Amino acid sequence: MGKKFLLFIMTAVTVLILGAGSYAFNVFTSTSASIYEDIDRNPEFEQRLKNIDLKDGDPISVLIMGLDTQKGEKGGRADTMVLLTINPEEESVQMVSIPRDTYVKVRGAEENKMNSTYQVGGTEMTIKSIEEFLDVPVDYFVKVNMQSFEGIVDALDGITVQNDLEFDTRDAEHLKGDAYFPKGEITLNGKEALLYARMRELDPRGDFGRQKRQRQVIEQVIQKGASISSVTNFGDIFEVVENHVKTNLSFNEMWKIQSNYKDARANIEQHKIEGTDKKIDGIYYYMPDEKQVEEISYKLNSHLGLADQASDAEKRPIEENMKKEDKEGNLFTSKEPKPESGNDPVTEAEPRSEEENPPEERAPETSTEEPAPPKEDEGDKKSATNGSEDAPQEQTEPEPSEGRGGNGDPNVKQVITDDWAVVPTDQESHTHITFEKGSLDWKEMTTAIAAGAGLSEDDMIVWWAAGEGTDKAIATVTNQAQTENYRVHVTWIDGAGYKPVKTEVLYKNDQKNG
Amino acid sequence: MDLFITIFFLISVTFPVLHIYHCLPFFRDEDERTGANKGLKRWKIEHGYEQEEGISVLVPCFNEESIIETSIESMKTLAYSQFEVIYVNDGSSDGTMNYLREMLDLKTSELSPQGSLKHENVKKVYQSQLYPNIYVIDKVNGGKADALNAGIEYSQKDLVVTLDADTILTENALAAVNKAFKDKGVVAAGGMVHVLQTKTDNPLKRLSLKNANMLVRVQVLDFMKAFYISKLSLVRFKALAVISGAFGVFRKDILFKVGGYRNSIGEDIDITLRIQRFIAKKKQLKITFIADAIGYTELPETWKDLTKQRLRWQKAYVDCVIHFWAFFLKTLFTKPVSFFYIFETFLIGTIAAYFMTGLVTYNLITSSENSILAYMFFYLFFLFLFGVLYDLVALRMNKHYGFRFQKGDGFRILGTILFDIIVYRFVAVYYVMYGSISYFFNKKWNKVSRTGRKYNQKKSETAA
Repeated sequence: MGKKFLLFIMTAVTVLILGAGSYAFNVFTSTSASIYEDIDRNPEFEQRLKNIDLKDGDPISVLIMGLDTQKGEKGGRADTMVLLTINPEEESVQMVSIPRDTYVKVRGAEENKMNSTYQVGGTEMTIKSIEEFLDVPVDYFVKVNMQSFEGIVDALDGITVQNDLEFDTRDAEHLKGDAYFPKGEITLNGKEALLYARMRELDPRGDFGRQKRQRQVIEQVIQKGASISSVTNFGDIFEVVENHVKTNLSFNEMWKIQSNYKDARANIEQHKIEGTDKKIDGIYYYMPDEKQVEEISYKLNSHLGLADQASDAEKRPIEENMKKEDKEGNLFTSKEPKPESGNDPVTEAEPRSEEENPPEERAPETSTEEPAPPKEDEGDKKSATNGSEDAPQEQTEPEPSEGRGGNGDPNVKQVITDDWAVVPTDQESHTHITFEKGSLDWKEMTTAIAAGAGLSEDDMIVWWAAGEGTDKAIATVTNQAQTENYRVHVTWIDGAGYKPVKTEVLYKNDQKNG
Repeated sequence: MDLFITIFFLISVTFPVLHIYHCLPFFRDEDERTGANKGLKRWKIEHGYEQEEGISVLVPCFNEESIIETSIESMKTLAYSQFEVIYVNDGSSDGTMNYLREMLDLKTSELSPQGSLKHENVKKVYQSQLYPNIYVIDKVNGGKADALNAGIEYSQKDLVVTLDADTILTENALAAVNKAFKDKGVVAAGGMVHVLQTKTDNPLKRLSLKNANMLVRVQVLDFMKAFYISKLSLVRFKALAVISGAFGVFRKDILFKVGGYRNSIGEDIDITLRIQRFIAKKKQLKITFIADAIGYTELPETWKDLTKQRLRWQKAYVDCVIHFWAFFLKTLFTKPVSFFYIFETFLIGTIAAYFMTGLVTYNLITSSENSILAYMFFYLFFLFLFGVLYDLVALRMNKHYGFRFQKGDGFRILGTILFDIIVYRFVAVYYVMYGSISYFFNKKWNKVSRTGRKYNQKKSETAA
């Protein structure tokens, strides 16, 4: 009897060991297979990837992408993009948030924000765009579905962050889920971490504040993830990871990174990309500050041991650089899309600008010039802070609301109808409003819109513009600081030009994304 | 899905793991200690110290003209005094009867049946004038079970050994049987069956793969695994469901008590289960395995014959699931034989084969290429662990029971193991799946043709 008992124990133990082993093996291989995604690389950087020796601890760059997929939406948008460069020799990590609204030129596509490159061309295009933008190779990527992020944090038993802004998500319209985040060191579970990383509207720093929180969260996930040892945690993570993470790292590579690059996390340096908001063609963009991008690019390249290459790139004159890109038919450039269009509306701007237009956090300290994209006609560049004396139109007396948007729209603070002057036209024949950026028609229309809003064209961001019939247009605009919001109605008067007819002062910009 | 596969994997490895442990000598029963001193035993037998029970060796023959000579030759060499051999010619349509007549110099015998088992008409009973302990029953064809029933009817001894016509016994096999049946609790037993194609002139110690083709070699491993691991373990659990028709031993009274053989596709499984059912309530009675009673049986050498044989075996399994269903259900958790038959052989061995095949197919179709690779690795892992381990344990047990392979067989064994895990096991699964279904459409069984080799001649060739 004793022997039979022993036999059953031996069998049970063996079977359990085999089971655990095979389960781990199975999960391991199926996870690694299902999360693996191979992409075409920029030939310039492909060779580099082949030469990376993870055993030797060659510095690497990893792009972390947070995907936001709404129901019914295909592919999703890469709303969080954080590029890490890891140098195990220096035991340091550089961490850069790439603002999702960063302007990029994507040929053959209508949208050209960094976060929509993913929708247009998938991981491949996002990576190429970032490589172009920062002139830094992106060796590996880890793409995480935001929804699953919660599970990852939970699998790590939560994370601890240093919060510098007290907020309560119940105050936020665009976030589902209630949580209160006090100032100071706070521990977050998965749900809270996701809210923490997503919240933008309650942060006066806007996207910058959010980027910072995202970096904090990612950093903490890395810190905790690098030190996990419990098998059950691994199992939980695999489960979450399997369906929601894609990467071009093989398990072998992950393993090597986990063991050889672990110590680098001791020293994480965070960067943000400075820039200004701008509206082009009715869409809001973030125009990064060239100079600072170059600085970051140089920093990252030297961190990756590519300093020579970086300085070469730096020496290249911007114009030449751009021409070259055009010739090579590169799909992307982070520069102004049409630098050759000399008759940019800005050049003929009426000297109206907001005087109470603080540089605020978005304006880089490094640059006193307007951080707009470079243009050939440098002479027209103005500092955003040096606007004219013109008083904002909103000081005109409130009038009873009239017409469209006046009655039903709770967002309208006040409706202004003034007898604005017609913006004289240079167009020889005008049949309809073109909404073609860079065209003479567009220039004249925006001039009229600026007049209607009482903003200088330099200071104005066009968030949205649309036609109403063939000769009327409505546009939503703000000043650069986004402190004043207007909806301007303009009409084309035959033989004369555009004339603002009505301006609605808005409580908030209803055209700005979430 | 992963969890599902893992649980499935666990269940399917449980029985092999159990058997691997259980077959180890550490777990042997108290009364298994036989043959500790073979020299002494032989001396005792030769000098009449071991009392020899009478043994009737029954050999049903249906169209066995090509092998019958080999069989008769082997009977002459048996070192035992109290035994008779009864060849039952089951209405052969070939020259089997003539061969028997010629080689044995038959005369009419006065043997009479006991009259309690039904069987087809017996035309005549003969006795050999050359070897007076060899009898021949010439009867109307009725199938193997029928022939065995007739043999039992005419047998004169208390122990009955049933052999296939192509099984030859080693010279002290009957002595080993005798010793095992000294235990009055033993009512039936299986002998160890090796592969005739690997027999050497030292049949108790050496096996040779030299003259066996790959198909036979892989069956050599299969038999070792079946006998030295699985059957041995099951016997220790009192759960043996198959006493091989190639070499089985029964007390005659138990055969009468269970009503003899049932004319079915798998009469050897049937008789074993009948006895198991009979002794289910009699704790002192048991079925055992006699590791040192050694017989050699011829195995099919072509895929065609192997397929016939294996499909018949599988049909026999399914047939007995149905025939003994009531018994199995009633004693599923109280009698090991029911438990192992239903869970190991039927559910995991048969039903799961369909399931697993479906699962693998499904995954191959629906998964990405990477996933297929993952499954292949997973499967290789399984194969290497179990295929190789099981083979190695079987080989080790073979050595434990005193057998060595010829010099130079090392590489052949290695090749055979590879062939086993890469090819044979898939084919075996196919047999299980195909056989189970075809049972319901075609219950007939096709006799496997004998190779027609002359093993006594081969023996001298090997010796030369």
